[in-house]
Amino acid sequence: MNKKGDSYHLGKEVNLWFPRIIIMVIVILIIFSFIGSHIKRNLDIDYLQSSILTEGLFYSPDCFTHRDENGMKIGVIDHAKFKEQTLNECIIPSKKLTGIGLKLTLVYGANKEIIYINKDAGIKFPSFCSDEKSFACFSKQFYVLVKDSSGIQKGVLKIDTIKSK
Amino acid sequence: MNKKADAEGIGMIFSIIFLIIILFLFYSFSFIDKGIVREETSEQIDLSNININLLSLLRTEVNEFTISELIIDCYSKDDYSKLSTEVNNIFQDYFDKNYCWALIIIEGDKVLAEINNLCGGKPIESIINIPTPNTGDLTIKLIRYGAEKSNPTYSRDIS
Repeated sequence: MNKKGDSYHLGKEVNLWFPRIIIMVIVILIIFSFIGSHIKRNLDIDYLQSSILTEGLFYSPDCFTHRDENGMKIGVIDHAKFKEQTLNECIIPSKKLTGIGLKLTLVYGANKEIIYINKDAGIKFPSFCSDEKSFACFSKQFYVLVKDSSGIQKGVLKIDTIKSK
Repeated sequence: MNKKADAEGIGMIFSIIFLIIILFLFYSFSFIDKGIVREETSEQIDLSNININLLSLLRTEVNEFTISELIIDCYSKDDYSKLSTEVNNIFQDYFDKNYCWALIIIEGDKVLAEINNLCGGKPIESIINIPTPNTGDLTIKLIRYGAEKSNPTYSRDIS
């Protein structure tokens, strides 16, 4: 009687484990795929930091963006505000930008102006960029309008970023 | 009694198999995730940069009209040739030459004009709606294609 009961118990255990595993695997797959699609695990911090600074230059009211009675005109550069001293203070004081420097090249009409943010680091662009283990370099080019005393002109703003790793 | 011990033994084996499956799935998912997420992040950042280009483009003055006013003018005349010439000139002279740029004007589901939309590759689109005097809005799309171009003559085959 006992032996018969034991055989029944053994068979029942084995039969129960197959559906248990299948169901658990399905549940785990669903959980992992949900988490996987929502968690951003691998951020390129260097690129992100460079982009935040670049965006800050355009969207901060204290940087170079032209402002009139209707508000800020994103993409329109006020030439009077495109000064090294202004841009070194408008987002965060350049002294706090350790290891990251920006080179801004504004070309419009026959004019070309270069400004550095955190010059000690920014001046290393592009000569130090070949050392990819020590420095991360990014370049972005924007089509902009430049407002100066003669009116509004079409121009190009290139923002180069160098960051020590 | 022995059979009961066997059942417990088999239970243990299945538990170990189950644990191995979980560990394998965990490893697989952490490995697969790596590539995808990074691309999504940089794409969002790039989109924000293209928005600035589109805003500047629409504010550009050409013969006392801004490009946005020119779009409305071309829409009322149903002739986009002048707009196409002006936008192409701006693309050529001022936009980043490492990418292909295109401007598309859409009304509802109907594409009214495609300017310089000749490149292939992965697109990133910046979109702005402009109200028209008539019915609904016009959708203006500035598209940056990831493919680099080497000369002003574009090709669809660039990927």
